[in-house]
Amino acid sequence: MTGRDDFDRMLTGWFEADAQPTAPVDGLGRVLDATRRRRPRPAWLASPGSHWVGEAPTAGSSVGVASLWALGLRWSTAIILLLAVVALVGGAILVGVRLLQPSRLPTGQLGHLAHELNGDIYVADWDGENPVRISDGPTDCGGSGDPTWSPDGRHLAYLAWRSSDSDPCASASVVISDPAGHVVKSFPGLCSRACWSPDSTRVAAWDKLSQNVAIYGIDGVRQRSLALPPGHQLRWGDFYDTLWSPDGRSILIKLEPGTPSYIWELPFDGGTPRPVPADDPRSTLTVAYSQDGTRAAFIVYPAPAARTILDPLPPYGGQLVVAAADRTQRQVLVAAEPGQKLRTAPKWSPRSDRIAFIVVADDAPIALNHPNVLGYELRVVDVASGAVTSLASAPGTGSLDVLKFSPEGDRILFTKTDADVTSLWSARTDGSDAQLLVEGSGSADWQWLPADR
Amino acid sequence: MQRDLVLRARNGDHDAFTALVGDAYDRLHRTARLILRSDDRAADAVQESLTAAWLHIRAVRDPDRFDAWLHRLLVHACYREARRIKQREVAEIHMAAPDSPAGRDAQDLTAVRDQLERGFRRLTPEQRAVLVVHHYLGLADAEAAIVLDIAIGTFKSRLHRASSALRVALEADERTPAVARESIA
Repeated sequence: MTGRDDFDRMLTGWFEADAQPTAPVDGLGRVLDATRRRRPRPAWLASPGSHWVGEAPTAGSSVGVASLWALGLRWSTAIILLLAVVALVGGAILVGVRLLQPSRLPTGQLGHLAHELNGDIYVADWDGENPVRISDGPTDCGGSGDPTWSPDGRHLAYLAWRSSDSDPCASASVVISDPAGHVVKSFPGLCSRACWSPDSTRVAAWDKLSQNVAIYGIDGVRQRSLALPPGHQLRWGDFYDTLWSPDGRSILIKLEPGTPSYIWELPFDGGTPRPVPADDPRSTLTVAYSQDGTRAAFIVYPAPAARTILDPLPPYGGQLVVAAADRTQRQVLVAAEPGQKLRTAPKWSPRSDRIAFIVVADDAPIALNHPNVLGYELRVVDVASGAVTSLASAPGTGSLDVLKFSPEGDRILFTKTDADVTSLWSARTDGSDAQLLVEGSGSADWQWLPADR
Repeated sequence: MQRDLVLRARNGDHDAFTALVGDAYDRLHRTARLILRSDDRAADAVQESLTAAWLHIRAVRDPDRFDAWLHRLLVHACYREARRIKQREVAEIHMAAPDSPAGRDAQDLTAVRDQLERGFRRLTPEQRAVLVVHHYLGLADAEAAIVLDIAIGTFKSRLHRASSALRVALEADERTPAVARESIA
């Protein structure tokens, strides 16, 4: 082995001799079978910046560097380019030109699905195809769940918790990521769903230390801490999702027990927390606001005096009410029939022309704690005409829950539980074309794509 | 021809994708086997890279560079495969019979290959990859840098270091008694 050429020739010869055709004969067939049933991912997830399949998603900055390397740029060139971009952006800001456009998001007739499965978060096509796991946290990551798209569809918030703690909620964090799964920021939180502000710039979450409601920007900076009403404490493990007031000026929380109201409003202006009057639509946390925030839909039940103390579940009956956000113009859209009760989670369609809700058929006496449920039914009501369409049913011990309309309003995302297995389904709003999207997942959100994109 | 296949595959034509990867399959497997030194692990890496190729084929901006892109997927898959299981590797010792009719030349050739095998196994997966891409695939520096997802300068320096490391490993092997070599392997 004397001389570089001899060494190189020897190495090349060894490679040629050693590279025997030993590929398994069925290997290619297995790959083709596996890929034939799937579709290529959309370009926005396949472009440089998305992670390789099977690899943990990398942070945004490192992905950017990887993209530069892919273009064959040196570090020095990259730094010069970076400085040039910074100068350009700074100049543009000075002259009031909005050069910093957000990263492009997919356009199309349907949004994309973020869902939980086995403690991980996936982003998939709207129909559950081509899932990509985006939550791949530290080795002691116990799981994650409750993915929620920001209203503008540019970010995703979900909960992540460690497995090493006896109480997972004590170690829970709220994670903000972009649609490709690159983590933007994370901050401590408790086990309640992250709540986006209407303008998609902030997230409300319970703060584990102070047990107040903390408001974070999507840059991870804590902007405010909203204290609970005097005399109230957050009972550990017994707290509810927060709700952002549609005007963006306060956070609504549910405290239990409470008088004179369960629902309290925590204003951002420094004012003291105040109870929400019972006749205010906001007095139920399951109130749903239309996309423009001007209308509210909620379920009202018979007065508490008509209930029995043995029945902690929502009472029989119920009315689906639509009102203006300022409580005026109340209109009963649907009233439960005898033997039915309405579930407390109506959902507006994107164009605010329809509302989806759940009806539970039940023939048990009102005083029984465990009513003999006959089945759940997912229905859609046309707000203008009052016409009701049945979309799906779950007879017997099964149950349904409606999650969201598709961005175009032509489909509904819902969960169906049967034999203790909850799965994601979607169907057209006329009840046709029901599809099983993800078996074993009960937590999901469709991405909302605003009309300006 | 390949350009047309890539464009069709990018639009979701699975038959075009089948034609593309069918031509490349054996070559990919040989490359992975050289880097990973294992048929089974090479098969896993190839399978992972081809699956990724289909799912991410819309990332191919220049259809003429599909091969480079595919090899880059393979190299990344090999890196992951190499790190996935830190299992003890068992060297395959090729023994020539003392009275083999192949004669003295064949025994010498076998000894050199064994020596190369042991030296090559001492390198990191990144060092193996840079040598395989250069000496087996025969790619030009710029193309090799793309396949390895590194800058050209980095490729050149890494190639130099990998060659030096292999030389050092081979020289160390020559100084190591045969009994000790088996325990190292």
